[in-house]
Amino acid sequence: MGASFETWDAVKDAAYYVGAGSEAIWLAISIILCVVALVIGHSHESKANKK
Amino acid sequence: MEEKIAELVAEIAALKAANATGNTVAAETYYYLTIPLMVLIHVGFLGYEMGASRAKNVLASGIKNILAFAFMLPTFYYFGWWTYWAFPTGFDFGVGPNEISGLAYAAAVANPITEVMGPHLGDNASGVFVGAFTLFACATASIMSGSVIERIRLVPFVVLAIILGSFAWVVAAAWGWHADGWLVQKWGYHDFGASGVVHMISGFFALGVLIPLGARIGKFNADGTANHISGHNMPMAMIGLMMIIVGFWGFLMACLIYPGEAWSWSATEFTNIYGTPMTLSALTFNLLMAISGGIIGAWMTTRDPFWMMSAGLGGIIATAAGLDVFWPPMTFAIAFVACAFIMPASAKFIEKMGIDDAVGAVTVHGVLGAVGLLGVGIFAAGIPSTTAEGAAQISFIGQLIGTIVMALIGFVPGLLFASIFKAMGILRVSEKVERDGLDISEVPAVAYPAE
Repeated sequence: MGASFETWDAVKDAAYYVGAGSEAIWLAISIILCVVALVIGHSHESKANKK
Repeated sequence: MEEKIAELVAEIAALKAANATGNTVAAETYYYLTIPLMVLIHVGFLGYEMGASRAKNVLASGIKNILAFAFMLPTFYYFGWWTYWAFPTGFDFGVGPNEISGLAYAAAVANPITEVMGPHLGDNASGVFVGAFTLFACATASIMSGSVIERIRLVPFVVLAIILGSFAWVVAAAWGWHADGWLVQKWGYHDFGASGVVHMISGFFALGVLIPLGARIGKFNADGTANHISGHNMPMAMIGLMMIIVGFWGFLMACLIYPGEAWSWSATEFTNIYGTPMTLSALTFNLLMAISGGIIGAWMTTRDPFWMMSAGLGGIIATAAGLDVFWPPMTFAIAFVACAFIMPASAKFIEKMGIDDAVGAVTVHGVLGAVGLLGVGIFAAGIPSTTAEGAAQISFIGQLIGTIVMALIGFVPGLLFASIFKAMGILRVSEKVERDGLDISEVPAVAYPAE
């Protein structure tokens, strides 16, 4: 984690976000969080409907 | 031939002048438009605060919120803007390395008895800048306002709002949201979207007020357990919260510095307030992810529509400090975790401490604001805080120091002045008024007439 650049001149007209090199990992984490939320939400709704 | 060249030179000069005028008008219009967008934050706070109140207090809560907004506008003009430019180096009123701070500079750009604070055909910027900053100030007051509903007296509340909105947060902004700020220069403090200088300060100021103010009658039982006090209109509160999120597009838009003007950091690109380059596109990517991460995270763990909508805002706050530099899926993940786990745990802890925060502002703004600051220290360490050679880098220690400073600048004045008002016996309404309802006692209007 942390910055992949040390000066602002180094990213002139280029990407400058932190997390460079781990874009796919963060994308995967965010997708997993969405899926987990949906699964838990479904489970909650199913239980609520059975009551 | 010479005539032709002279004609071309004149044409180029005319084109340059037209382009400069166009840029100036565009910059002025850009900040002008952030102001009505930020007024929507107050539409939201008004609805959410009234919705979270019981029917017997709804108009008193509304009046309180409206007055916080109204008193902020002149008081920020009187001394808030001056404070921002005078205080960056600390209480010594010195001049920072960018030479845009100190007593002389503040007197030159923010003295309310000189022409710089009035209509001026050579100055298209001061009015819209003051306007945008004033609306930031109004946001701080409204954040505190929701926490204290249904028992605080109106005038002490307005005075507290002025202390917070036109002074306390402005000192913090001078220190940490200004290129000459000592937190920025010395510690590389980074807070693009004001996780600390607006949200955390306001949340901790509210905490400082809530301690001497005490809980609403009926909130806690004799054994210390808490009761839930439902507001009278949850849909109004939810729509209000969504409106605050709409307004935050204007708030964050105003955190960028438009290019190409004499006061701009760059001739060609947007920068943040510290002068490092960024784009509105970067902000858009991250802002959308922050809102969604917060809402989905809170839905997963709370199922509560009030907390879900608070988490839309909470997701922004927990990432605001780094919305200019984060990778968007990272923003989503931070907002998700903050609102799924930290937000409910914090709200529960505050309630367990016997503090009655009616709308969860200490948690959503104070605690999640701290998350935003520390998140930058973890994920964005190493980035130079400004474009100057040898600028301090963002670091976890720098962000931690900033977090402590923000907590103290908020908490101490809130606690101090609220305690003084309590000692004077004017902080809280009487028990009879609280039981009967503030509307029937103080407001010459009826919210919901029976006939």
